[in-house]
Amino acid sequence: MVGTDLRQQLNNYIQSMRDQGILDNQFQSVQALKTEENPHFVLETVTGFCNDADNGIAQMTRYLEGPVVDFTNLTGLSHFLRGSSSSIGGIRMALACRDLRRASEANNKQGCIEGMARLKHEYNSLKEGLNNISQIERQMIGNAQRGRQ
Amino acid sequence: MTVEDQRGGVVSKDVSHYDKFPVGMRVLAVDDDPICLKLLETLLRKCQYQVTTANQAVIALEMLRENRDKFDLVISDVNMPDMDGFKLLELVGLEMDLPVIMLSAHSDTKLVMKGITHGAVDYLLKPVRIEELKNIWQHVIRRKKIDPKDQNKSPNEDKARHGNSESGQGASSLGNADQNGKNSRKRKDQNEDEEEEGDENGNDSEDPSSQKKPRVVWSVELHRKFVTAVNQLGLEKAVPKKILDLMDVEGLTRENVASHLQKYRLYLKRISSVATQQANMVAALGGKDSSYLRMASLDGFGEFRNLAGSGRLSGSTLSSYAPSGMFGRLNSPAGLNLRGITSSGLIQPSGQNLSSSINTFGKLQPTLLPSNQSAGLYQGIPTSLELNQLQQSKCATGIGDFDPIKDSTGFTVSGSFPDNRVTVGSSNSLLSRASSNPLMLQGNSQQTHNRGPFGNQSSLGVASLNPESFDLSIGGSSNFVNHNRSDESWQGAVQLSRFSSNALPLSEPFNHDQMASNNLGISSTSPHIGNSPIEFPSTNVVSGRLEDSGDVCQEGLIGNVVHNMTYTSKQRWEEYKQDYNPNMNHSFSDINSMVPNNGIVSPLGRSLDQNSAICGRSFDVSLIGQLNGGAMSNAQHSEFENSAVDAKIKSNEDCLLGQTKSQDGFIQNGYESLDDIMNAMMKREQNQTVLSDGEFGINAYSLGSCI
Repeated sequence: MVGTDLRQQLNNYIQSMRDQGILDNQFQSVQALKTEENPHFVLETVTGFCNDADNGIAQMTRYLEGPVVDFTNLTGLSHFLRGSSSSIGGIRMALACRDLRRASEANNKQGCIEGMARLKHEYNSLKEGLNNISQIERQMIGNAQRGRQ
Repeated sequence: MTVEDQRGGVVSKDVSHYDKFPVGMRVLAVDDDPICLKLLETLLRKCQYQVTTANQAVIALEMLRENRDKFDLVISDVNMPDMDGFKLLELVGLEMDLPVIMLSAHSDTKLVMKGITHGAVDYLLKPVRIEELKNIWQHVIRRKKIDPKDQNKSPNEDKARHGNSESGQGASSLGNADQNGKNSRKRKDQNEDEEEEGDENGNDSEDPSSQKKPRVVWSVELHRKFVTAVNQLGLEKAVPKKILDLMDVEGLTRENVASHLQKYRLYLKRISSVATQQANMVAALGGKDSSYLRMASLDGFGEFRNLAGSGRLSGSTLSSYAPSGMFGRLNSPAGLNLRGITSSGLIQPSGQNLSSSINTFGKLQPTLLPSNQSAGLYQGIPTSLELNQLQQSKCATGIGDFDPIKDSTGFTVSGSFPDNRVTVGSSNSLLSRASSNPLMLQGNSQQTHNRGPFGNQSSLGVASLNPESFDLSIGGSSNFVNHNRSDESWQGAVQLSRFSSNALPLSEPFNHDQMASNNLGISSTSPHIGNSPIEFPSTNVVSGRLEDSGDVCQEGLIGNVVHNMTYTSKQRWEEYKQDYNPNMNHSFSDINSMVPNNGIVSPLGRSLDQNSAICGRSFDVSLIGQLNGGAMSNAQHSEFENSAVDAKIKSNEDCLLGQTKSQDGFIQNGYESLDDIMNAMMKREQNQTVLSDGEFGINAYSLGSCI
């Protein structure tokens, strides 16, 4: 079945991401929250997350690249993203955020720069993975709807 | 009335709500991160809870303040841009006595500790797992069921409610619960006879049977109506009967109105003298907390109950509070109430030491004693503090010298009450007077927060009541001092700051200072609070102080403390202590709660914590209630203490009513809530005598003031 295949494909994909450590069990929990009434739950969540993360990272970059590094805000924002990413299951990204936060708290500019780079890297891989997942999800939903129709 | 709603509402709501508990439990989720919030919401829905979300702490607070019965539990993120999660936690705990769960991506032990000390019932890490959420309902149940004796926080809710009811409004179940357990019973019964008649008993709603007489809680709305009616009639011509008719509120008796009127008059007197101060304060306070403003409605009464929190009993301050709002904020409007009462009572002291003390207490509670009447009452008595104040008042009464009304503000103590709310400031006059500091002190400590002026002053201010008088009171002062201790304790617990930070303009405070000495205690208390979680726990210490002071006053405050000590308070205090520090405010609740219930003492201890919450809430009520007459039953302790406290606490309302009547009763009544506290303190017997003299002074005072 298309549906089954897709689902299988999705699971495989997620599994591979977990193997890489990009995602953790949390993502499963998020998935579990998807219901009949709200099949788009995962999609929405993922989309929302990516938006927040994009903005957040851009903002943090600005903080870091300013003439004077704005550590306070940087700390806050990195903490914020840590929460977000861990909630969605992006464990590696969350860890990167945590490290960045530490560096920022210590007013360690160099550490922040490195942390930032790492964060971006992690985020990119996470984002890519999430996008793929979303795609499959959309397909599944589309199929399901078509199926119902 | 609001009160009713809160109280009764809660009960009924709870009851109906928990038929299939935990299904349907109403949770308020607060997190600035939309992703987390969304996830949290979905997870909670999955657990079959009813979820409301807020992505800002201020929004959440508004929702809660609007109707705290709408929620059973709050889950809040720690790091939020607009307000620190811990701060929210404190406020919720103080004002609403709801269990709060902290949430954070940080698992730092220190943070967790901080959360717990601030009163969180749990600390979860992000990402949140559904398994953990499935268990959170336990906290709600625990809170409700916990033995009133011991738990300040959770169980208090229910109990507090009940107990509070009596004390005057179940000082936000918080303190009450604890105390309620014990003292409230006593008081309740006693109180019931006394004033409470018409009250809005919404408070009791929770547990009418167990509770003492339902105390009328002069909620902001109610007070507003009252003021409208009075203005319509003209202050000169305003007589209780007519006011009552104009107000057209069910369940309100003429006596309630009468006592409230008395306080109000005192309050007005006070404010006229400290108009400026108040204005400032009000502004400060009012602005500060919406709650205060709420209290403000009291005119100070704002929320006596709140005052309770505000403890500020600084009765006078209460008046001063004009900001009413301020008082209201006292967390425990009680502060106001007491204030009025205490103030009145206290200041009176001249002989009344007791009164003073009581006033203090009363004030304390009333925190908002808005009505000048309370002025005596320390409005400030922010919750427990007020009680303390009362106690102090008692002492203050001792202060009798005070000039009885020197301050009317003597009670200002109220302001002091913790939490700045108490800003007893209004009590400025009172506070000063009241130096009652115990209460005020409390507030003072707190006040520093809030209004600072009060805060420190309050606490002390109250204490300062009359330095001379203080002697009397100083005993009470001791109270204050104790207060300080207590304050500290309280502060911590009481959060005098919490109180209302109304920070009563106390500034006046204690010029009278006798109390000042005491105040010292208190002033110091401000800082204390944080530190000494409660000196109270050592209530003994406090008591000891009291003893030293011999004056009742101490008792008032100390009484509270003492009560605490005496009562289980000790435990509580201990609890509070812990809480105090973080939650000084809370303590107040406790204290307040204590006071109201047991006798003040308990409330104090507990109140502090709870008082913070309660103080604002119940405290006032309780205290005043207690003071008023409710406590009388508690006469147990030094009667006076209780009464004083009670009287004071009796929340001005009673005070008003009680004053006249209660003078003795007042004190006694006051005891009920304050009783506990007072009792402990009062044990002194002295109080009794004092009481009789001054009837707490409050009576005299109040009367005097009113007059």
